[in-house]
Amino acid sequence: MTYYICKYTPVEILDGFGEKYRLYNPVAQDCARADQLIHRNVCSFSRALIETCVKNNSNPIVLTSCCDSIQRTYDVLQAEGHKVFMLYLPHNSQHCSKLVYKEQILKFIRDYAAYSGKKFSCAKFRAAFKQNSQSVVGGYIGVMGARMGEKMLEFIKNTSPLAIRNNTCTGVRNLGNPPLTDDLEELMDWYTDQLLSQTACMRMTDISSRRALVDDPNLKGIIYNTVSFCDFYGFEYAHIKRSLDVPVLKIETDYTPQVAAQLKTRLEAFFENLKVGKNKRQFRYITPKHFQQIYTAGIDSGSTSTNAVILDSQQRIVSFSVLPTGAHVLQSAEKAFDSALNKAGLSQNQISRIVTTGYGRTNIDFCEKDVTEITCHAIGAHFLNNAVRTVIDIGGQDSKVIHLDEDGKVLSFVMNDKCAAGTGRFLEMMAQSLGLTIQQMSTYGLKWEEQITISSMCSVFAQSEVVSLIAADKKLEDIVHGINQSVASKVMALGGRTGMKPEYMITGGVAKNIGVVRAVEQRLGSKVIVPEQPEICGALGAAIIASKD
Amino acid sequence: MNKIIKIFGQIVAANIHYHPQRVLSLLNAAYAVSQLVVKYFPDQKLLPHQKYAAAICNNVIRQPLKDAQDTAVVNIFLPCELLHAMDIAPQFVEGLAGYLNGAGAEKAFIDFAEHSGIPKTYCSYHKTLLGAALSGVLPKPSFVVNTTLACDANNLTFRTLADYWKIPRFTIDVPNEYNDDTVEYVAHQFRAMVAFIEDVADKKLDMERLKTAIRSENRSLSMYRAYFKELSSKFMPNNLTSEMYKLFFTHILLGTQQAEHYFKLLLYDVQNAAPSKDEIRILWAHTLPYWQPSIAKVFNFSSKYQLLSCDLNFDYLIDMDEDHPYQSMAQKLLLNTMGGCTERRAQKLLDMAISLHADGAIYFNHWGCKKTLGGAVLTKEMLEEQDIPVLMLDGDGCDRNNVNDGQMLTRLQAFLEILEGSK
Repeated sequence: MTYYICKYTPVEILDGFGEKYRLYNPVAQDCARADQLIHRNVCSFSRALIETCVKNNSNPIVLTSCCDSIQRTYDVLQAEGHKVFMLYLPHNSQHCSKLVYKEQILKFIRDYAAYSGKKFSCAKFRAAFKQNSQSVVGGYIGVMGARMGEKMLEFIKNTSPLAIRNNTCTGVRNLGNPPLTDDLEELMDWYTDQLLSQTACMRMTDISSRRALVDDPNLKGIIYNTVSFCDFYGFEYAHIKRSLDVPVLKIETDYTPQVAAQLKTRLEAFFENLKVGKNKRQFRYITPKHFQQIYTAGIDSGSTSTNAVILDSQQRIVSFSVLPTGAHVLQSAEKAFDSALNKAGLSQNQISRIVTTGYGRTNIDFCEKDVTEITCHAIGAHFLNNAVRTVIDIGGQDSKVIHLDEDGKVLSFVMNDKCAAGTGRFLEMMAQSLGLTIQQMSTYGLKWEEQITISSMCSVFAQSEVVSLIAADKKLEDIVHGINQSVASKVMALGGRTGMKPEYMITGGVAKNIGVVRAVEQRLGSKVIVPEQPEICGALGAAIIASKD
Repeated sequence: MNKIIKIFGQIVAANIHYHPQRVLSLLNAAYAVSQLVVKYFPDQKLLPHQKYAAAICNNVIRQPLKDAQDTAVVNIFLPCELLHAMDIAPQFVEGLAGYLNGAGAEKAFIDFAEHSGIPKTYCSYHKTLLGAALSGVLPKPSFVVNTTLACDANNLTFRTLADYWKIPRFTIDVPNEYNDDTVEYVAHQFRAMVAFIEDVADKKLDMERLKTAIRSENRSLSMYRAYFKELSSKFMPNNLTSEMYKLFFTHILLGTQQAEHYFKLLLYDVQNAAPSKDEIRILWAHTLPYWQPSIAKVFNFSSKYQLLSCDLNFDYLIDMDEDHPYQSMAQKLLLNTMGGCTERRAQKLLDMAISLHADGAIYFNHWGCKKTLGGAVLTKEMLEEQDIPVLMLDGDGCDRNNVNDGQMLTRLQAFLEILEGSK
């Protein structure tokens, strides 16, 4: 088996040799070996590629010089003794560029013949061309951006309410029918032209052909995939976000299984809102007067706390509970639910419906439905104050900024990645370094005198900075203020300056930290609504969904 | 950071969104003041060539900010002889970003770029330039010309700039391999580039002026090679900023009278330098974090450590052929050590380490530079096989918020202690 990674690779040449080949999309459990061979800050796909090639001895592999990271991957794999073919891929598709690439392809034919001992057959080459159109009728969601692993793509296809079109860099590959000739030069002229005339990937100088991908009226939404430490696709995402009015979800993959759970949450939330878009009524709250007194519950199983809310049929909060999430999600959910039931003086059989949300939502088996925390926070915030247009949810391990319209529909949202900066965990780490309790942290920063900047966005480095500030005998109040400013800065970076519109509401446990709230207000230049119980907003949203289903 | 620079940076950050023209005026004023300082009150520790460089570089950056007419934004590897022959001022990424860093303003521009969607993991020099352009601070030049050497960022940044400013752009595609076909391929593009510039700048290239520029360049390179020969047995105090200034003369200013004068001074200074004694001689790979006081303190004007050169300052030292200018420019790009495989750059680093009698090399993993980062391990192995110790130093040449200063300094000092111990 021969492996390749880029759509510009002349793989049909391998058909000409009668070889089997496969588009390589490796997911590495870890990158232990790659870490020894290449710096961590090169593109994650390259690292996963090195890791799996070295571990599985995947030989031979055909690369193109598609990006800086892949060019270095070639150097590393070569040095490790792998059989790697590398073709220089021009950045342009003009005539002289095609001649250069044609020479590369002809050289590849010679090199592969020498490597395999096989003879190239023009007839086999011509037989390799099959039309690979993605026949999608009607509205669809385009998966765009960088290459995506098969499992993730499969998940998207199975979860999406609309058809999916794979328009990622390796997804769009459609060549024509070759001329009926055995003249190698003539065939390769045609072939090079076909390869370089494909819908351009972002590394090409002229990317105007990419515009057709987003100018389609049937395109109803975009899932935009970026790769950690890849330079290319953030640029196109920014352009799409600015210029298109279809819903766009940006995700970032790193070719390890670890981020899959978080990505699934985002994807589900995105699809939920696409469904809502079809039927706005789902977001309007009805308070039927003729309802008998029935109760519904929402349980938010977060990474730090598990919260439960019980509503009556008039959507009044009957009781709620906030408990730390233990080692077992299900047990924590049961405890939080029991606690809320006890406070309300109710038994479980009086609850007509339960909806769960949060990271652990799918692991709670005593519910009717699970909904992502994005949707639940939006519904909860809209319920608490229907003037809210931006929800800033800072939880224990992650933070989100959710934009709503006047009906409470989610217009867009962003979520932090794996990093802890700007989350409750970040504040806990800093409190620990300063020897303060979380309660002290919430008010200490209000009495600051000197403006201190915590420059590192990485929580580990920021902790070192805090330790240095302590060593420099800086006042605790000033350091805490600097930390609060750092969290606020992270929130602003997450939300983007243009996307955040008043009224603002801050939810999640960190909303109880007055210093952080003030710092966020200062950055926004506006007051921020802090609900009485900010950490139950997600559970409240879930309970509301339960009440209207 | 100097208090005034810190305040200046804060003022820039406060105005960048709503008053970009005010920021530009402030920058122009700040660079005008620094021009007076470097001209009339230069640091007396600087050697003549270093004083000269400080004044010239300031002017190179300032000119397009004052008057963007007949200005092209370019990448550092673009051979600029053609531009000089047509009186078009080049503005380049690393130079401008470095100056914005010098004004304490890079964070504001980086933040702006990131909020516009530019990935955090992108090269910070490019992010700074993009922030300056997208915020409306940087005046619109006449056109954009760039090469695909040496990194992806060149394609992405220059395309974004041309789209944003709605100005013409020309890109020279540089293959990884050197052979007759690729030389002709790149030379052909240079010919097309001349037609492009003549069209957009409404000027005609005077071949005699181009030949004059090439002759000047060859004289400069000849003196530069003589400088390296002398340096192999000399100790000449250096500092990180001056080594960065050298990039102007080894790249975009090559072919100008200023560059020729600079190399004359450089050669004179090294000829008058003291013989090498028992100092630790260090070769540097990639750009330098001249803004980082802790690292600068170690090297700047040190009598103990000789900072020999950064490898970007010897990426191509071969004479041009005035009768075949386009082929020469093509060769300059195709043989540049920043292109091609890791081995090419590492081999040049190794050759220079041997000829300059380096005790060790520092391989600076500048944030976002995937090619440098990707070649780090292989380069280290290659040099260490030849007994040249290598320190891989993770840092950022432009973004002062992106480094762990304490950790970097500890690593650097430990490395220098090791070298001292084995001397």
